[in-house]
Amino acid sequence: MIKKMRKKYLIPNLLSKRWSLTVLSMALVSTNLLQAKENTIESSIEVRMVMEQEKIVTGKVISSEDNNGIPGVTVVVKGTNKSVVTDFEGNYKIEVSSDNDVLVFSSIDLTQQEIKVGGRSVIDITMTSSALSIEQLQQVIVIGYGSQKKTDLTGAVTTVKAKDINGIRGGNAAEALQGKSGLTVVSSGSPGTSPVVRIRGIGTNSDSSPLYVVDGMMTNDVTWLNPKDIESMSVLKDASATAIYGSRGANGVIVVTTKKGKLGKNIISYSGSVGSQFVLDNYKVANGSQYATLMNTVAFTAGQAQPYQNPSQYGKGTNWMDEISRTGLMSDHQISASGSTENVSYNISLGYFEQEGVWNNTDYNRWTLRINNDYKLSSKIKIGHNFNVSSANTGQALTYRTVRSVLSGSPLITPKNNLGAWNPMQNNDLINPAAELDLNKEANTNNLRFVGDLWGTWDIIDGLQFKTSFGEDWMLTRFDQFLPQYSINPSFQFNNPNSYTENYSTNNTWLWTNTLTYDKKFNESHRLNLLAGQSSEASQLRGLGATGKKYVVDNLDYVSIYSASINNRTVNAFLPAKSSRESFWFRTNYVLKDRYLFTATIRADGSSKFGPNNRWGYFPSAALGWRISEESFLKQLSWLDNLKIRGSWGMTGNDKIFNNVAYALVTQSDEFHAIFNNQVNPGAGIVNDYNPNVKWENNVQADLGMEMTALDNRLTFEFDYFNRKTEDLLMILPIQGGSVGIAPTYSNAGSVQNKGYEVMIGWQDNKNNFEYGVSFTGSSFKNEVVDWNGLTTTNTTFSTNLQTRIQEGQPFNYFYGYKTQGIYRTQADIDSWNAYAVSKGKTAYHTTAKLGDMIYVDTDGDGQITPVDQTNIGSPFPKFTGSIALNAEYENFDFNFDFTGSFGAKVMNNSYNDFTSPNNNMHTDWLDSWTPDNTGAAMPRLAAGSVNMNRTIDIMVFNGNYVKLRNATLGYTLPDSVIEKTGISRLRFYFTGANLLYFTKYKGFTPELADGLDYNSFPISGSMQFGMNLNF
Amino acid sequence: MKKLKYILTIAGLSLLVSCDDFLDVTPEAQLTTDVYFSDEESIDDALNRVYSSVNWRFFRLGTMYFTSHEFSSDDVIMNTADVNFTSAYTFTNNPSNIYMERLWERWYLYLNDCNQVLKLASKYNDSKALQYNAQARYFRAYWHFDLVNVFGDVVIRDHVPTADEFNIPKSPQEDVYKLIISDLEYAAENLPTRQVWGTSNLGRVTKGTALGLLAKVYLYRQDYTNAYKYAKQLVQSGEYSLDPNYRNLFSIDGKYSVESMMPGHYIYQNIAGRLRNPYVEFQGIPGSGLGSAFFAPSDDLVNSFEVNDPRKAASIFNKGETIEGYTGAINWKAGFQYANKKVIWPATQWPDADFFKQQLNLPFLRYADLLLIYAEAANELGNSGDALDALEQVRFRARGNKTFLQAGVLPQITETNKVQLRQLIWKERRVELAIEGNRWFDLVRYEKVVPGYTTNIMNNLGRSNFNYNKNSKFPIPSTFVTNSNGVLIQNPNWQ
Repeated sequence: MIKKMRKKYLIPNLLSKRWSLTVLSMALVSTNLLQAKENTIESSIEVRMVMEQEKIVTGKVISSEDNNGIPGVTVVVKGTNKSVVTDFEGNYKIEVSSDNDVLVFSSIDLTQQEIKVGGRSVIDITMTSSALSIEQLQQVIVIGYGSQKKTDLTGAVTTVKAKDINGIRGGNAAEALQGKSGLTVVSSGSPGTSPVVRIRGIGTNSDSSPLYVVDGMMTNDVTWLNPKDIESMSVLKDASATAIYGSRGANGVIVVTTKKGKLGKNIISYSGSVGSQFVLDNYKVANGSQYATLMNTVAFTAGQAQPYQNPSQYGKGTNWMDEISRTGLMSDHQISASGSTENVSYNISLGYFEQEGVWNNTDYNRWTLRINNDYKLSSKIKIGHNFNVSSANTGQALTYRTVRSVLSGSPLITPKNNLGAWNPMQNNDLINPAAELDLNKEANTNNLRFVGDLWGTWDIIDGLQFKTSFGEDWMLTRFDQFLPQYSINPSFQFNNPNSYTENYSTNNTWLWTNTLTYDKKFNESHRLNLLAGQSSEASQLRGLGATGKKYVVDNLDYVSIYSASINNRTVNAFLPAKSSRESFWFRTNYVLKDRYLFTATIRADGSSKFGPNNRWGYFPSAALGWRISEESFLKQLSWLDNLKIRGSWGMTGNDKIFNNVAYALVTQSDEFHAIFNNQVNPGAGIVNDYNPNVKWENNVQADLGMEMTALDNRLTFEFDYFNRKTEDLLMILPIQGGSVGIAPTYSNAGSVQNKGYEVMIGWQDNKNNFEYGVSFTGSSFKNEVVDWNGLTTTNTTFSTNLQTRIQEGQPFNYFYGYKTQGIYRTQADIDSWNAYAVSKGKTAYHTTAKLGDMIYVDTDGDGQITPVDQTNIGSPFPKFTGSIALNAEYENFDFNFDFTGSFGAKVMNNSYNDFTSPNNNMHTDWLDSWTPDNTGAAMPRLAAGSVNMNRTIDIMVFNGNYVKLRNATLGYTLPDSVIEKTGISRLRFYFTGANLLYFTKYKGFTPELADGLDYNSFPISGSMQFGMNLNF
Repeated sequence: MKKLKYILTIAGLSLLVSCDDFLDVTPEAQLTTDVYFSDEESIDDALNRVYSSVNWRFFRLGTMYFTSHEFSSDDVIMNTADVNFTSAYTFTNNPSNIYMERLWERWYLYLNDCNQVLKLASKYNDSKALQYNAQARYFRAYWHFDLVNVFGDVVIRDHVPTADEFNIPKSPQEDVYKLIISDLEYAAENLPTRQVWGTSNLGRVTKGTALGLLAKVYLYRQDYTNAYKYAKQLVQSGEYSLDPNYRNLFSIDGKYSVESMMPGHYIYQNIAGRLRNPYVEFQGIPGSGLGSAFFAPSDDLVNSFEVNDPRKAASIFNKGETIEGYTGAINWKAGFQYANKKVIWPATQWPDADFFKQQLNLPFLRYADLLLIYAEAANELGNSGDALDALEQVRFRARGNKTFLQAGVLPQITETNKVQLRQLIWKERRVELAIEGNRWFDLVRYEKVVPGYTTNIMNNLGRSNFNYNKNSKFPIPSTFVTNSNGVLIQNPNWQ
C-alpha cells in the first residue's frame, strides 16, 4: 500500500484532475490508518459528508503572484471535520451549516486565512505565499527549533540564502559563510576537507568548530551535504539564539534548512558547472643557479670550499612545486525535481561533485542523493522526511614532510634518475615529494553516509503543535591503500615489503526530538510563542581493519587482504566508543504591541561524557528588544522603516572532550608487552589520570545590537557588540614538573574572553529594470586569556620551530619567540652589545651569536640573551575582517562579486628559516644574506645551527593581511521569447571565478590560517568555472 | 481526551529513555582499574608493562637513549644535522632539547609503572607479592640510577603520588642513591636466581642482576668496598658466566646468553607503526640506507682496540666489508668508514629483508661488565690479584677462550701498579663494552678519579666546548622547569 502510494507521488501527473482526488482519498485513508483504527468508520462518514450537499459555498482561490488559481488548498469549516480541497483551477465547493461558520484556507507554504461566511455563497480569496518569496524569506529567520519573523528577533543571527550558497566554488556549504559578519572561515584548499569555521573568535582550548543543525540533525560538519540542496543557513551567534542548544552551542550554531517542494511549481532543473582550479604560488624558493649560489655562500661563511663552480650553469633546475602541482579540474552537477500538491510536497535531487586537487593525485568526488517529502495526512497531521545519502571519496592526505620537501628540496635534483627510478633528496630529512604523491596515489577514503529524519507534526488545538522527529546519522568509512615496495630514503620514505591496508569503521548517531509549540495572538497587542522540547541522542563508533603484506605482484585487482598469506596479515583494531545525551528545553517569546520583545530560554543537558557528580548542565538566556520605530514619536519619520535595539545575555556549554574521562581506566597497548623466553606477554598499566568531577565548560555571552532599515527598506544597517567569556575551560593542564608519569586528563580551569563588534550596511534598489545592491560587512574581536590557573603553556609543533603560548593577559596561543633588532654587521656591533652586557654585570651579550647573526632583544633587560627573553612576537587573530559585496541585475544579465579581506593577523612561517640541514633550499630572500663581503645585507648569515635558523624568532613572523576577490560571477538568462517554445522555463549561463584577484604581501603558501601556523598548508588556489542553470 | 492519551503515550516513551541509566555509558573495550586488577594474578600484566620498558617498542626511544648515553662520549662521531642530537656531542646542549624532555617524561612514566605494581601488590602478603615487589623495585632502582647519571639531582618517585604530590622538588643525589640502594638490596634479597626462574622466565631480572647493578651503583660512587663486595658475591654465586662466543652476545639469540643479566627485548611483530627496532634504526651504515646511522664509531674508538683484538672484528664494520646474504651495493657517505657491527648481522636474518627490523638487543647489563667492575674495585682497594684474575677472564674469552700463548693476541696483563692497572682496566672496559651505553657515564666518573682525565680527552678531540662541571650532567628540560612554577630548580650550571 505504502509502496504504491510513494510511487504515485514520485511521478505526479498534474494534467489529471483525478490524480489529486486520488491522492486526497489516499491521504485521508492513510491518515486514518495512522491515527487509530477506531477512527476508520468516522472517517468514511467524513468522506461521504463531503459528497452530500445542503448549504453550499463556492469560490476560487487565486495566487497573489500571478492571479492564477491555486490547486490543492485545503478549505476547512473551522471547528468541524468538514474539509475540501481546491481543484486544478483553484475552485472549491463546501457545505456549511450557518453564516457564522468560518472557513479556514490553508496549504503548505501559503499564509493561512480565516474568512467568516457571513451570508455569502461565493467567496473568492487571494492567498500569498508564506515562505516562497525572497522578501518573505528575508523576514522569517530560521532559529533553533523554529522560525521567527526578523522583526521579532532578539538574538544576533546572520543568514545566508540559497542564492549565495550556489555561487561558491567548493563542495562545502560552509565556504559560503566566508566574509559574513562575526565569522572566520578558512578553507584548507585540500579537496574534500571542511573549512575551519570560527564564530566570534576562539573560546575554548578544544575544538572551536560550531554545531551544524541540518533539518534538526546535529552534526559536526556539512561535507556530506550538497550546497545546492540548501535553502538557507542561519548562523546563530549570541547566547539568546544559541542557548537553546545548550551544551553544544558554545561555539555558535549554524542551522541549515534544505529545500522542500514548493506549491504549484513543479520544477525539474539541472544546474552544473565545469572549471578548473590553479595554484597561486607566493613562496619563492631559490631556483637551480640561485640554490648553487646559496650553497656557495653557506660554504664561504663556514670557511669551506665552494661546492658549485659557476652557479649560473645550473639554470632553473627542478621546480618542485611545478613537479607536484597541476591545474585541477572541477565539475559539479545537480539534477532535481520538486513540487507540491495540496497534500504532498517533494524535492528530489541527485548531485555529483568532483574536484582534482591542485597537487597531483589528491582527488575528491562526492555523490549526493536527497529526498525531502512532506505528506499531509489530515488538516492536523503532517508527516515527512528529509533523507540524504552521500558517498564521498577522498584521496591521499598531504603530509607535513611533503610540503616541507617541496620548499627545502634541492632544485639540482631531478624527480627521477636516468633509469626512471625516484631520486632521493639531498638529505634524509627530506623526501622526494613527487614520488610521495605518486606512491600514495592508491589511498582512498570512502565515506558512505546517511543523514536524515522522519518527522510528524500534529496540530492539537489552534496554536498548539506537537512535533516529533527521529533522525539518524550513519556513516560507513572505508579506507584502503596499496603501497608498493620502495626505499627512497631510509628514514622517511620507504615501504618494505609492499602492503595493503583496508579499514572500516561505522559511526552511528540517532537523535529523537520532541517539541511542543504554542503560538498564539491575544487581541492585537500580545503575541506569545512557547516552546518545550526534549531530545535523546546516542552515538556509537566501531572499527576494524586489516593489513596484508608481501604480495607477489603489484596488481590492484589481485591485492586484497584475502590474497595475503596468513602470516602476512595483521588486524588493525580501533577503540570502540559510545556516548549519549539527554536534553530538555523551554523557550518563551513574547511580543507586546509589536514593539516590546522578550525572549527567555533554558536548556538542561545531560551527557555521558561527564561523571555522575556533574552530569547535568543548565544553560539559561534572556533577551530584550525594543522596536523604537513603532513608538509614536518615531512613527512619523517616514524614511525610517524599522529601528530596533536588542540586548541579550546567556550561557552555553561545551562537552567536546574524550569519552570516559570520569573513569580510572587500565591502558593496554601492544607497545607495552613484555617478552619472556621469546613469548609475548600482554601488559596493562595505570597511566592516565581521571577526573570524576569534570563538568561543562561555560560560555557566558552578552550581546548588544541595533537593527535599522530605512528609505523604503532600501537601506539596512545592523550592529552588534559582544562580550563572550568562556569559564571553567575544559582543558588538559600539563602535569607540572613532568615527573609523575601519569598522563593528565581534563579539568575545568581558566577562562578566555572574546570581545568585539560586527557591523553590516546594505543598500538595495531597483530602478528602471536595474536592480542592484551593495553591502559591507565587518567584524572585529579581541581575544584574551583572562585566567590560566597561573600557568603558562608552551605548545610546539612536532619537528618544526613553531612555538605558541597560552598565558594570562595574552591572546590565546600567541607566537612565543625572540624579538630581533637588526644584524651584527661588524665586530664593532658585537663589541658594543658585549659592552652593554658588561655594564649589566654580565660577560657577554649573546654567547652563541656570531658576526652576521640577528641581534636578539634583551626583553628582560638583564644584559644577556637567555630563553626568558622570548616574548610575544605576534597574534594569529585578525584585528578586522570584512567584505564588500555587489550584485546587479539588468534585463537578462546578472552580475555579482565580493571582496573579502583580513587585517592585523600575523602568520608564522616555519619554512622561512628552516635550515635543519645545511643543504636545504631556501626562500630567495636569503640570496641577500650577510657575508663578510656583503655586510649591508637584508638577511642575516645563512648558517645551520646559527641563531638565525630553526629558532622561533620574529623574522619568520609575517603580516597576514590579504584582500581577495572571493567571488565574481556574470550570468545571462535567455529571454523568454527565445525559450518559449522549447518547454524550458528558464535557462541561465554563467561564468564564475574565485580568488581571481589576490592581494597579499605574505611570503608563504597562504595567509588564511585559523591558528596562524604555516607549515603544511595547501597553497592558495584560484578557480574559474562555467556553468548553466536549466529549469523545465 | 483521545489526544491527551497520545501525548501521554509519547511523553511516556520519551521518559523511557530519559532516565539517568541512559547517560550511564560504561567505557567500551576498556576496564576500570578496580575491575582489571581485582586479583593478585592480574598484577602480572602490570609487571609486564614494567618489563616493556626494555622491549624497544617505542620508536622514539632511540632519540632519548642515544642522546643521553652515547653522543657525549668519545666513542662516536655524528652523522646528522639535528641539533637535538648534535648538541650532546658538541656540548652546546640546550635545556629545551626535545629528546631530553621526552626522556625525562618517559623515564618517570617507567617509574610510575613500577610504583603502580608496588601499590597493587601491597594488598597481598605472600611469596608471589614478594616477587612482584622485588622485580618492580629493581626497575625502580634502574630508572632512578639512569636519571641520576643523566641529570644529577632528580625528583624521587617512591610511591604513586596523590594530586598534591604531582609537582614536587628534586632531591639531592644522596637521597636518590639511598632509595636506589635500598631497592636493589631488597631485590637482591628476594629475587630468584636465573636458574630458579627457569627457562620460561628467561628475560626476567634475577638476584644476580640486582647484585650486579648494586656493584655498578657503588662503583659510580667510588665506594669500592661495596662495589667489590657485591661484585664478588655475584662472581662467587656462579649465576652468570661469560658467553663462550663474544660476537654471539649481540646476535638475536644473545639476549638469553648466560652472560646477559638484563636483556633488551625487541622482537619483530607485524604491527603497523612499530615495525622498526629503534636500537638498530638509529645506527647502521652511513649513506647506505641500512639504518639511519645518525652516528658511527669514532676513529678514536676503533684505534683503541689492541692489535688483532678479535673483538674489533666483532664490533667494528669497516668500509669495504660485505654483509652475508646482502646483494645490494653498500654505499658509504663521504667521511665515514666504520659502523657498529653489533647491529649488523647476515641479511638472511632480516625480517622482510629489512635491515631496520633486525631483532637485536642491547644487553643493559652483562657479566663481562661486572667482571671489569670487580677488577676495578679490587684494584682500587689494592687487591691487584683479584683484579688481574677478572681482567684475564675477560681477555681469555676475547681471545676465543684461549690463553695468550695459544692465541698470540691480547697479552695477559700482569701490571700490579694501581695507577697503571687502572688505566688498563679502563681501556679494557672501553673496547669490551663499545657502544653499549657505558662509555659516557664512565668518562663522567673517571674525571672524579683522575682529575682532568675526561677534559683532556675532549680537548685532544677538539671538542673544547667541554666543561666538566656543566656538561657532565644534562640540564633539566626547560619545559618542566617553567611549568613547575619554581618548584623544579634547574641544575646550577644551566641556570
